[in-house]
Amino acid sequence: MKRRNFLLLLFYILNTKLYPNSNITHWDILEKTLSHLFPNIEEFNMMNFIKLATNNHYFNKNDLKFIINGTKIVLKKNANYMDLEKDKVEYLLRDFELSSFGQRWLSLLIYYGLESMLSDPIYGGNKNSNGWKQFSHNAGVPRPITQYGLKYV
Amino acid sequence: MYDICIIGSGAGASPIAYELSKAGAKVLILERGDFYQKEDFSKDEIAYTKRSIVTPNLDEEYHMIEEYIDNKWQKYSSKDANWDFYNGNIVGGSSNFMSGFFHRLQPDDFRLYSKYGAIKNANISDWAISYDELLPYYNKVDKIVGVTTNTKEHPISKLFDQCAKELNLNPITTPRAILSKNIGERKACYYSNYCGSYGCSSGAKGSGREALLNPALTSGNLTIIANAFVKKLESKNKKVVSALYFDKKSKRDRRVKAKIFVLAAQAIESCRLLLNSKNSEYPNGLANSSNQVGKNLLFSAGGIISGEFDGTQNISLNKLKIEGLFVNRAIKDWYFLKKQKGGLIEALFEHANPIRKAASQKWDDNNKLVWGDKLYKKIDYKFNKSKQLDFEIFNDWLPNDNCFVSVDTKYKDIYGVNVAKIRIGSHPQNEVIGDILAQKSIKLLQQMGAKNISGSISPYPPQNLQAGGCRFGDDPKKSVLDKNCKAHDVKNLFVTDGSFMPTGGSVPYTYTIYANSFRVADYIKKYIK
Repeated sequence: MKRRNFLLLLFYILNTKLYPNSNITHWDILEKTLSHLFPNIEEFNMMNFIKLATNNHYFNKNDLKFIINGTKIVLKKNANYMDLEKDKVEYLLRDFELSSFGQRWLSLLIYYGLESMLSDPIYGGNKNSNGWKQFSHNAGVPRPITQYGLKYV
Repeated sequence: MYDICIIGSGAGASPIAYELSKAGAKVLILERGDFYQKEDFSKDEIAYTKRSIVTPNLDEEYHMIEEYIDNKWQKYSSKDANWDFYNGNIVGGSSNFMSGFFHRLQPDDFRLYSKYGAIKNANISDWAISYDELLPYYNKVDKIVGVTTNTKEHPISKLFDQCAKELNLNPITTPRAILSKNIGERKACYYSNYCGSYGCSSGAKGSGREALLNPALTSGNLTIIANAFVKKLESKNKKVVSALYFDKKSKRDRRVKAKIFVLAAQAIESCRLLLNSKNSEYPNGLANSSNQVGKNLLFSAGGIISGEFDGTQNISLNKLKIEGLFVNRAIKDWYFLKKQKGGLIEALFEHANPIRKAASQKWDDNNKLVWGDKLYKKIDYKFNKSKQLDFEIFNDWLPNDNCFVSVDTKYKDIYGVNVAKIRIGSHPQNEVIGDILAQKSIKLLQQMGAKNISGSISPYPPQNLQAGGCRFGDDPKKSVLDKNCKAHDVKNLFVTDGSFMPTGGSVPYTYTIYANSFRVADYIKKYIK
């Protein structure tokens, strides 16, 4: 299977329901987790960035597989994950962190969350440069006018 | 039929193209990557440091890596490990993305064996030329590529000087391949704060593309075919007659003929191409009658020691936060130790890349993940209340029998060509010397008042600093190339990237690769007459 098709398949899986009789998708788990790891993710358009990034052929497919697998395990740990209060989520994620898989999964989500906050807004995150503003970061110039180094001339 | 066909377009290739095309020869460059110009570049951290934009897609092109784990050599794929040895695969090669620290080798670097003698399990050898033979070409690089100590400096450089002198050290100003004033189409450095790892948008950085290939194109004698992956060099009667390449645009194999071939695809890929070009004349690989192709691969040994400054030292936070200006300081006092080769310490600020900097804050001191407001607070401290000064340590990567390139007989890339297999064994002496320099670095950082000093010396090879694998020498049985970097056993093949080096010195390689390539260009000019 070609890389692009493989990534599309993985991306499609993210949109599927985790269980036949459930309305919960992998995205829901991701969004709830990222909302816990990063206060105010909507200020950075974090989920939009993650959706666009994971659907791009430059995205690391091993990371994408790992992210998908992690959402399944989180739901296995607690079928009511989506309804948990903040302190219960914290408890569950700290417990998940004790396993090497869980630690790696959370580390990866934090990493991609930071990508969404601090990459150029051209990638769909860092809304209104809010991530840069939050940390008084001066972006390098010239800034990109195309994504992924696509040549201008 | 071209006079010269060059495979690769970086620091080893561009001086040949520049000199020979200006001398009237018809020169062709085959470059596996695309042709970017300075207008195409931006300071996009995602594109240039987080995704494979200017390096091959690892699902399509990769290497096998052999690492010593649990008392045996274990092989794994670079696509699974998500690290690789590709660097800047576009026209101009990795010189587009260098920081441009241009230190010359020292005279004794050319005679390390004579100076210090043998080291157990290391294959130290003197060079086939002396420093004096390369000196005019270092000067030529200064003039044509542009090397200066006049770039603007950050206020911390003064503190560095003061503290180094208090320790009776001799700080030196680092020469940079960066223009401090406009020259022709190349504009002066605008101190973007995003130099290393990024293509230069003003043309100040002395990449092979900006400094040599673009001017050479005006001669009308240079043709550059981008997106051309060379699969094989084909030989007849001990001469290379053609290069077989895959044209990524037309998606077809093509063949080109030339009188002379110059290989400069960076050490690992050059060795791979030679080994994959075996035929009945060269059953062990092209230019490999000595069985030395791929052997004695070099990287740069060392590591990084860092210290944090928060304004409580002899420099205010406001001054520390000035962005873009260079530190431009190095210490060479321990370059040669009494009984062994030492190395160089180069000072520079931590890279400004925000994603990388923020991601470095996701762990606490107990290796637990940090998230939420606590993470934001840590990132804010990192970005706004402190600045990290790094001391990069460069010391010789000793050539040894466990650091080499071969080709994997099983795994092939998307073009059907066997991938490189890289054994990455580091000689124990590499870390011994690195540790000595680390201790010296810590003392200097302490003298400067730095806090939270930390870092490490690593046995892992830095993938962007490659040399060796086709060492030059006078004995055809022990070396691949003669002193002019022509293959001993092929009449018309030269190798001009860093592969020729028998030892690498304790400085980044680009300056020396440029100088040597200018030297070989002079020889080729005489050779074709």
